[in-house]
Amino acid sequence: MRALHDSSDHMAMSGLHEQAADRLIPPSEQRFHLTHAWVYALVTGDSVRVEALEKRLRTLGGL
Amino acid sequence: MLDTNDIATGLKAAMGPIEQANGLPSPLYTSADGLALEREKLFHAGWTCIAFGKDVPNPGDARPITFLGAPLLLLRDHAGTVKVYENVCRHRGMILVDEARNFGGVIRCPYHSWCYSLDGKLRATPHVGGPGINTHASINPDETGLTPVRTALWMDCVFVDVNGKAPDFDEWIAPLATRWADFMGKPLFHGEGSTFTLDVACNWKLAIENYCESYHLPWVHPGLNSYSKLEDHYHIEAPGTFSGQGTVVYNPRLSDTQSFPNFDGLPAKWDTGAEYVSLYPNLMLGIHRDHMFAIRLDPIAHDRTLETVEIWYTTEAAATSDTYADLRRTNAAMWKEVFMEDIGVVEGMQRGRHAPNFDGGRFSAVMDSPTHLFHAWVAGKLHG
Repeated sequence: MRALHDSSDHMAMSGLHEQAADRLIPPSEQRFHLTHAWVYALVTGDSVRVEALEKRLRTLGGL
Repeated sequence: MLDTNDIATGLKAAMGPIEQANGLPSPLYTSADGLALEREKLFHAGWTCIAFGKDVPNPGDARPITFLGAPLLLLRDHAGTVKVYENVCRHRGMILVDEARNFGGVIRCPYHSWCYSLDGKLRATPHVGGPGINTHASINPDETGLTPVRTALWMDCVFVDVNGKAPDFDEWIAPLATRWADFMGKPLFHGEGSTFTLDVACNWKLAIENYCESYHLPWVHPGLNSYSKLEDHYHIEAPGTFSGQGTVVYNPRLSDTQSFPNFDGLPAKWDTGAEYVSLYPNLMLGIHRDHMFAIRLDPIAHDRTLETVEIWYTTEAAATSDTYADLRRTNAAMWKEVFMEDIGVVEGMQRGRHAPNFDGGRFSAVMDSPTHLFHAWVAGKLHG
């Protein structure tokens, strides 16, 4: 993630954050990573991915 | 800031009848305060050209424009509509877009990642309610989108009304649209290789004043004058909106073997007629049977102006094909030569404006009326 910070590879950043959220971690940390995955998906314009991430965030109380 | 009381006498003198009028007072040419006053009362207080549609050719294209200090964002949304917003995040005022680019998705603020869709809506406020909590009752997305700037697109020229109080655009442009009704609705195609910029050491008004009149043609444009003489030109005067000159002998002779295609269905008068108007405050236009050009003036400082010149043609082939490439180059070079011939006189007038006792000058009652109309308009807007 740090290596990609200044890149424009938002698809990869979204994927990495979602992977982080998929690990067995507290919901608060899941929400954090899903938020970043969601933002980068919004930037790419991938509406299917955005909708899926928003659904997960809503379930966790992040939206 | 320069107070209009300081120059009230000079402004009134510029508004008088041409036989007695003086030109605008010199502080409006020689001081930063003069440009600041014009920023408030001219440029941000009416329709002004800031860009061209060809600057954002594709859906998703965005280009930041700093217009006399105001950070604006020109973009073409995914439906193809040209829009302008203030280029600033509604959160903490961060500039959103620093360089021209295409947006496939949202515009993300680099500071806290608030995201805006291209229709200006606030689409995401990450962590606004705490880490991982992306909403908060105090932030209503419906009220916190990008601030739109009133925009109009006409002849591929993008106009904005920064303070939002200008009359309806169609009403404002009607006098020129009516005059050029023969060209309205006809497609325009931006010419490849038909853009150039001149960086001129003069106040923006001097470029307009010079463009308005044909009086200087014999002395400054000998090439143009060889086939378009002073007596072939006529005044164009629409007080309060535009002024300029027309010619009845447009005949450029760019090539012995090739010519550009004409706009469809033009009346015969345009076979050899062409018109050149300054649309106040900052757009100079030229219309011909086979092409249009625009010169947009961007005041960089009170004594420096960028002139961005663009040329449009009547068909896609004329604008982009290799068949017409040489002709486009020749046409652009011809106009560039003409406009560069004006640089000496407008820069000379800028230096002259520092003469301590110069009274703004006088006008030829016969030859300078389009220029005087522009002075009277500026004076009226500043004086109130």
